[in-house]
Amino acid sequence: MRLRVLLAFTVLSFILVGNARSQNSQELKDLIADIKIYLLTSHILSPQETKDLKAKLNEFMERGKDISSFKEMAYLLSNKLVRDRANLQFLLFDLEKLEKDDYSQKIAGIEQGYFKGCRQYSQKFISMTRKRRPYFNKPHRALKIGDYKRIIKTNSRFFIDSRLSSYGLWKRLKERLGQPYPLWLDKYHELLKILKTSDKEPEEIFSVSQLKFLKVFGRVYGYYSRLEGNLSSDLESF
Amino acid sequence: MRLGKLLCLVLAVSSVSLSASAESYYLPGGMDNLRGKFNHAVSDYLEAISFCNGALRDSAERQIEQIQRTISASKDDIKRIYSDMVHRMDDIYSEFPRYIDNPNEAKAVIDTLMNIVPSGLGVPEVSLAYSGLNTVTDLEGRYSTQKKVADLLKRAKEQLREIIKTSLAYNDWARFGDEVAEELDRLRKDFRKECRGRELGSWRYEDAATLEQAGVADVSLEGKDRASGGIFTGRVRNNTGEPVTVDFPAGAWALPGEFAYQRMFITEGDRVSVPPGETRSVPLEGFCADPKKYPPPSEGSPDIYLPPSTPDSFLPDANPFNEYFTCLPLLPSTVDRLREEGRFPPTGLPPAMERLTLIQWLTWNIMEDFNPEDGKRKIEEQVRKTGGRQTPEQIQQLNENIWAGIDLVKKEVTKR
Repeated sequence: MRLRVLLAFTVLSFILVGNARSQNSQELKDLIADIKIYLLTSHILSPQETKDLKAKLNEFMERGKDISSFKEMAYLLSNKLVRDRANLQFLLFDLEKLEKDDYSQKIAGIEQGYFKGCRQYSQKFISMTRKRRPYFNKPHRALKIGDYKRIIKTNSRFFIDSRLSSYGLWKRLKERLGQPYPLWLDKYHELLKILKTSDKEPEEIFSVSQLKFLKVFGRVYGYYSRLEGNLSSDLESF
Repeated sequence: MRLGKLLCLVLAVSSVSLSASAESYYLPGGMDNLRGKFNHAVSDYLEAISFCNGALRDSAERQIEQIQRTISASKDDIKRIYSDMVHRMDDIYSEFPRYIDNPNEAKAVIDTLMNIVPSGLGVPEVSLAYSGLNTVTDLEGRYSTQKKVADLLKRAKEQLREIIKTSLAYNDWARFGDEVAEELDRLRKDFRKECRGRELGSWRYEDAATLEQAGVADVSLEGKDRASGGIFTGRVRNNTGEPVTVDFPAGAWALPGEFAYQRMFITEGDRVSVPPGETRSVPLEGFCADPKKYPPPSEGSPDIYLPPSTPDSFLPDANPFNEYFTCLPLLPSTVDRLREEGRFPPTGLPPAMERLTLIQWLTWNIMEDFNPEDGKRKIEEQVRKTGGRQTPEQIQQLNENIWAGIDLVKKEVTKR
C-alpha cells in the first residue's frame, strides 16, 4: 500500500514538474514574441515603450537559456538601433535641404540653420553608437551566451539612456518640427491635389522649386510618418 | 540525462587537471597553463553539444587544434634539449680515456653510459635512465679513489638526472597529447550522436550595419575623394571565431557620419566572407546622392557607415517621386539590363561613362532638382574642360538622348 502511494506520488511529481517546464517554456516563447514586437517596429519607441522593453529584456536575460534566441535577440536589437539611426539621419539630410531652400523657407517661415542643433545631436549620437558599441576580439572562439548578453546590454542603452538616445534625438526633432511641419504638410497637400487633378506630367505643371519641394518634403513626410508610427496616412486618400 | 553526462565530463576533466597540476615542469611550454586552456575548450565543446551549436563546436575544435600544436612543439623542444644533453654527455665520455689508464676499461665505462643515453634525437626510456643511475653509482664506488674520474662520474650522474627529468617531461607531454586526441575523438562522436541534422549554423545575418553595431565585425568604407564610380573600399574585420559574411549589396546606402558630406549608394556591390579573426577588403562602386555636397575624402575620412541594407519602405502616397526614391536601389541593375537589350538611344559616350552618367543624373533628378537644363550645362562644362569640338547641336542631341534614356529607366524601374 505504502509503495503504491509512493509510486503515485512520484508519477504525480513528474507530471507536475513536466507541466511546469512546458509552461515555463511557453512563457519564455511569449516573452520573446513580445520583445520582437518592439524590435521589429519602425517607429521610435516612446519612453514608456522603452521602459517596458527594458523590463522584458531583463526578464529574458535572466530566464533565457537557448543560445540561438540570445543570438537572434542581439541581432534584432542591434538592427533596430541602426535602422532608427539611419531613418533619423535620412530625415535630417532632407530637412537640411528644406532649411536651405528659399521656397521651403518661405512656406515654413524658418531660416537656414534651423535644424543645426538636431544635426549636431545626431552626429554625436552616430559617433557614440559606433564608438561605444560592443567590441569583441575573440578570433579563436565563437560568441557565447555571455557575449550576446553584452551586445543586448550595450546596445539597449542607446534606446534607454536619456542623455544620448534615438528617442532623445527624435524628441528634439519633433519639437523643432512643431512650427514648420504643418505648414509644409499643407503645401504638400495642395501640390498633390493639383497633381492628382491634372493629366500632365509633374514637370509640366510645377516650377523647379515646387518640384524640388515635392521630392524632398515627400521623403520627409515618409520618414516622419514612419518614425512616428503614424501608418494610417492622411494622404492615402490621394 | 544530458546534464548528468555534462557534469560527469566536467568532473572528469577537472580531475585530469588536478592530477596534472600536482606535477611541476621546468621545461618551457607550461603544461598547467595549457591544461587550463584545454579544460576551457572542452567545456566549450560540451556547451556546443548541449545546444548543437556548430559554430561553437568549430571554435572549440580550433582551440583544441592549437593545443595539439603546442603539445607537439613542446615535445620537439624537449627533443632539442635532450639532444643538447646528449652532446654534453659526449663531452664527458671524451674525457674518460684521459683519466682511466686502461683503454679497455675506459671503453667499457663509456659503452655502459652510452647504453643508458644513446646518441641521436630519440628520448630514452625512463626505466633505462633510472637503471643507468644505479650503474653510475656502482662505477663511482669503483673509482672513488681516482678523484678526476670520480668527478667525471659525478658530472655524468648530474647530467643523467637532468636527462631523467627531461624524459619524464617528454612522457607527460606525450601522454597529454594522447589524452587530448582521445577526448577530441569522444567529443566529436558525442556531437555527431546528439546533434545530427539539427546543428545551429554560424552567424547567418549578413547586414553590415547590424553586424558592426553588434561588434561581430568592424565594417568600414573608405572614401576615395570621388563622387561616382569606384568611390570606396569596403573593409571587414571579423572579430569572432565564427565565419562572418557581410553583404555590400548594390542599392545599399552609405551614410557619412557628418552632414557636410554626401549620402551615397552602392551600385556595384559584393558579398564578403571573412574567416575568423581575419580582414578582407573589397572595391565598391557607388554614386553620390547629394549633388551639392562633397564626396567623403580619402584621408581623415569621416565615418561612413552602411545603414541596414533592407530599409523600411515608405507607405505609398500620391507622390510619384517617393516611388522613384524607393526604387533607387534598382537603378544599376535596370540600367545594365536596358543597355544589354540595346534599348537606349545612342549617346556616343564610352559604355562605362554612359552607364555612370545615366545612373548619376537620374539619382540627382530623383533626390533633388537636377533636370535637362542642368544636364546640358554639365555637358558644356565637360566639353570646355576637355577641349572638345562638339557643336551646340551635338551637345543638345547628346543631352536629349541621355534624358530619353533616363525617362526609359524611370518607366522600367516602377514596373516592378
